[in-house]
Amino acid sequence: MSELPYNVAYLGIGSAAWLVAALKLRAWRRDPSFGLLVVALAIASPSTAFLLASPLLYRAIGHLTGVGNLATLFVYLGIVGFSAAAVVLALVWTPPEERADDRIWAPLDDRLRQRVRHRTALFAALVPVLVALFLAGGPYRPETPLTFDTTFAPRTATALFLALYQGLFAYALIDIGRVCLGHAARLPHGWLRRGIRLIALGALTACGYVVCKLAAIALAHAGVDGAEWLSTALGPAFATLGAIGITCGFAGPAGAAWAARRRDFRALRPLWDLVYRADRRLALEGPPSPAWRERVALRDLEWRTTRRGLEIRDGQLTLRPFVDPAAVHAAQRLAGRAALAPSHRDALVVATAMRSAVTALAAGAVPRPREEQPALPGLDTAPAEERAHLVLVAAYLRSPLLERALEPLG
Amino acid sequence: MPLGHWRLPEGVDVRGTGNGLGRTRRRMRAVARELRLPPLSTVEELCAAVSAHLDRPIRIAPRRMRVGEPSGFVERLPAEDVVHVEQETSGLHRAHIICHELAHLLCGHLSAPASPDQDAGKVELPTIDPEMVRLVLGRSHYDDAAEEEAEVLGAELMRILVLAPGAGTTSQLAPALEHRKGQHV
Repeated sequence: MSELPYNVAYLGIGSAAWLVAALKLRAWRRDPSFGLLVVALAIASPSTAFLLASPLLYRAIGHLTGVGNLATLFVYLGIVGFSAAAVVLALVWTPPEERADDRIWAPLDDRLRQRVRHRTALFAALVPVLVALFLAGGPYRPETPLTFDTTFAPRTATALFLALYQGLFAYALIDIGRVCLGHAARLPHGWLRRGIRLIALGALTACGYVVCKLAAIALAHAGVDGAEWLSTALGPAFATLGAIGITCGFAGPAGAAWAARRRDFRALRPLWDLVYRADRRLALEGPPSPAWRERVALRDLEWRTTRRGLEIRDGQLTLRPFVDPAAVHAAQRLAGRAALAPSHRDALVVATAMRSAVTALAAGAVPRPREEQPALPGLDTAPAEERAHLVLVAAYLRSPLLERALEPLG
Repeated sequence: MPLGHWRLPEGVDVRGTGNGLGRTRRRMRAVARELRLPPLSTVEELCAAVSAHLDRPIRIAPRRMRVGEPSGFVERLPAEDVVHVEQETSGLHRAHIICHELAHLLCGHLSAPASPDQDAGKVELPTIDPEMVRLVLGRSHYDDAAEEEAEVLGAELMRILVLAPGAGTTSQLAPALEHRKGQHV
């Protein structure tokens, strides 16, 4: 049997998943939350297992330690680590109605913390049991990076070791799959829902691995030949697909949020340029970055996007005394005639107001006293809608409707 | 007790420069962490927490700012500190302005108020009219290090706020899956 496809698959998935785990850990350091830490560990543990399961590293461990097949113990403990993390995650993600507190995003309450401790303690207690069973079976020769289960299942201690490991894994997969499906039904469309469903799908697929392996182990223990393919081909295929699904499910929503933030960051630039032209001192960081740097902006986007939004709002306040009421009325009329949706109408009015104000300011107009300043829409925007509103305003800066609204002003 | 022991030495200008701002951001992140606050839902709760930390009443007073006035400023009265904030702007913006002013208080940018039992005429303030016991720091530009510090610490205080956790299920999953506690980020 060629080991190359296994090396490629296991090393590839292990590395990719470890990258996701590293990004999650970095995010946890920036913004600590228990759920994020558990997710990071839930990815790091099986990623390590996948790496060690590759025949290349599997044999290397055997050589280094002098104990044949020792890598199997580490691989399966890595998956037990995932099982523990998944079970804790299922607890933390238990749907709202089962938790009395309103603030379900808040840190753990005492009761939940206790339940998490119990579950973790249970898994911690089972680890030495697994190690003892592994050592009792003495499965050191021959070295079997791909056929450990079926080769050593006839030994009772090893069969128990394998059954216990698979049992914990199955329990964890069903637990996390069940909780994720419950959430998916309640989420609005978007990447958060897609991610949760992928985790559930990945967990279900990984159950296929458990079924194949248990069947293969039972048959091997009973002395029945010819079913090794369950353990060496079909089982690993299910495991690989399941791992991909779960990892993508964990990583997808964060990637989508990052991409959306980056899109908004770039979309806000024209509006920010407008207020910067009005008052350079609004910018905390100067000078403004050139266009090419905007295109490759990848780092520190949360800070940069937040700053951009705030400075635009500061600029809006600075420009308010110079807004031309006639331009605002013209924009409202045009929005009505074009039958724009309320959010679009507000965006057109605000964009027109700000452009008219910049022109007036540049022409040396006198600021209007507070009572004469026209009331602008978009000030009662909820925090969750703020960025979307500003992005829409930025988009309307390029709208022909805006040019028409400013026309009478010459 | 204001967290003033790490203030910049006199004459050092790190305003706006890349490395300088990075250092300020790291410092302020540590300061915000020192407060050991749990995530809070509203800026009023944050204000109460800062007030408890400084052991001094702080009141938020939204108002319509006149032309020429900054978007927010803090006023030190003998018995309390008042944070004035522009009321006609978005909720997120208003929250940030308040955080900026709270940051001024935390940084100790305002000197100690005159004692209420002291006779105003006996206050030893060589350059300030003894009648004027109000001291004011406004938010408009970042012309000096104090403004920059307050703006950066204000941003860190905002990160303690979860203004828009999202409905039910979203709020439970967003921190772990989207790496953000609030949908406003």
